[in-house]
Amino acid sequence: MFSNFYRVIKFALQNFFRNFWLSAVTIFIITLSFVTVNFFILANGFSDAVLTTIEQKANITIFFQVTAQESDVQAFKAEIENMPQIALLEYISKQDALERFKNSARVEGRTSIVDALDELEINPLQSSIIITARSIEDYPAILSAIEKSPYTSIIEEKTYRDRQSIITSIERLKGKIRDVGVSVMAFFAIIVALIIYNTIRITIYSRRKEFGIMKLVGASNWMIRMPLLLEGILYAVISLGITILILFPLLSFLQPYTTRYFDGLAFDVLGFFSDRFIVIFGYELAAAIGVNILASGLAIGRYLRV
Amino acid sequence: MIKIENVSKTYRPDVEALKDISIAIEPGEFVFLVGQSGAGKSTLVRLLTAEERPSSGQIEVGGWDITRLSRRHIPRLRRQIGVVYQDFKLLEQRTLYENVAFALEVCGTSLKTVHTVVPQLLRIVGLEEKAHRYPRQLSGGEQQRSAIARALVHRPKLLIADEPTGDLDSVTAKGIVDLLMRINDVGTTILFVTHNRDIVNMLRKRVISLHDGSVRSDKVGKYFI
Repeated sequence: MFSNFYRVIKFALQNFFRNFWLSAVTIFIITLSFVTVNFFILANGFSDAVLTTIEQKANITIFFQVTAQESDVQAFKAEIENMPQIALLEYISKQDALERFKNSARVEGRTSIVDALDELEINPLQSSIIITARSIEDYPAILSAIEKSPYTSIIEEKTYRDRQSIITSIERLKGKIRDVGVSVMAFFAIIVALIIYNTIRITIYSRRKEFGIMKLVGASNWMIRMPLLLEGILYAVISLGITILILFPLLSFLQPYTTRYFDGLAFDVLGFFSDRFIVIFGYELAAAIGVNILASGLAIGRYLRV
Repeated sequence: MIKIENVSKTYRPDVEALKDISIAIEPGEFVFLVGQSGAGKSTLVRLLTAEERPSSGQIEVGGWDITRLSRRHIPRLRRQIGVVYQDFKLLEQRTLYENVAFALEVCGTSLKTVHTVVPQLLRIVGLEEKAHRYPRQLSGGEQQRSAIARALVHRPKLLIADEPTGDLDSVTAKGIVDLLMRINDVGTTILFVTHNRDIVNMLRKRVISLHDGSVRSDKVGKYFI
């Protein structure tokens, strides 16, 4: 059994190297397909990162009237803070607001304002609440809950840093990238299948004498077919290996440029692939092996009579 | 060894290659199958090696009804039958040793057995000295001997020689016939397909003559056209 397995591998490797240029062209096209597919995966990951960054920056800020009673503000806070949609609720009291304002004024060198505020006997600043929702879709529910509250009279102003329109357009773009990505992957899967099919067909033709002799001396169908299937798998494995060897140096070269270009966006192109190495390349390998087995199997069934 | 009963083979649309033939060959026999081109000799060989199936009738080889043989069992049948052809069918890029060993390797024989069996066979066909030469470095007769060595790797009970001397001069052809006779002497049934009258007439063996897809004669003696 072991010697059979060894021979199947030996025959597959022999054929691979005997038809070196045919193997090289096949691998080149499969590699090209892999690289393109990975760039679409990267584009998809990038649009996800942009969305997350924008979503994280959305919040609702509620300013209370200067005259609002602290007890009312606390009652309002207690009413809404248990909403399941709220991820983070930050309460800034009048005193906190004053301290923050003074600190920032001092940092900016506007000491006269600080002095003027110190002269005033009352605190002119408002207390406020900053709410961050769990997800961008939760903001309308939170806004509606605020409006229905019996304490609306103490609210002077509420600002919803609405990035919904940007988010919608990015989501639309992301959807398009995904659609195009899926189409491109399907297209390349077909191309790879056709290439493998043709390569195996040529192999069968160029080795027809050898196959004839194998049949003549009673080689099992498994022994005749298995090296061809294995050859298809070998193309997939080698192509993926080359893709990884191309992709990682290319991305580390591009990394500083992408960071500089998309200032403030935490998207690590290299990290994107290294964090998901097993998932991305595992699926790609499985898909490529699947396509190869299918295409080789079809070519063997069609052209190799055993 | 071989039992052919009412076998016909028709190719589409209406070419009748074999017409209701019946032949029985006993174990250990040396039989010539003769006939002109197109008589149906090659068709019969293809039916015996299960490359094709008859349109009707039944064929038994070594007790196996090969007309009902499933595709999966065909390799097992072929290991019971050795076949040599006019064009030798040797792999040009492999040495003589590798050509013979290849036949064992692809059937899953262990490496140890390969190393034991191949030199033995090369000794039988008288080519142990040339084991590491390539087919192009051998004469036609030597190439045919190599093909015979390969056909014997599974110690078949039946050896079918399909025009084995077709491309050889008469002296070399005589050597091949002698080799086949020696193989027959140790009990291997030989079916020698030829249209070479000189070879048939050299030996007084059973001659089955095919003509236009039918058995014209089946007797011990000479080959008359």
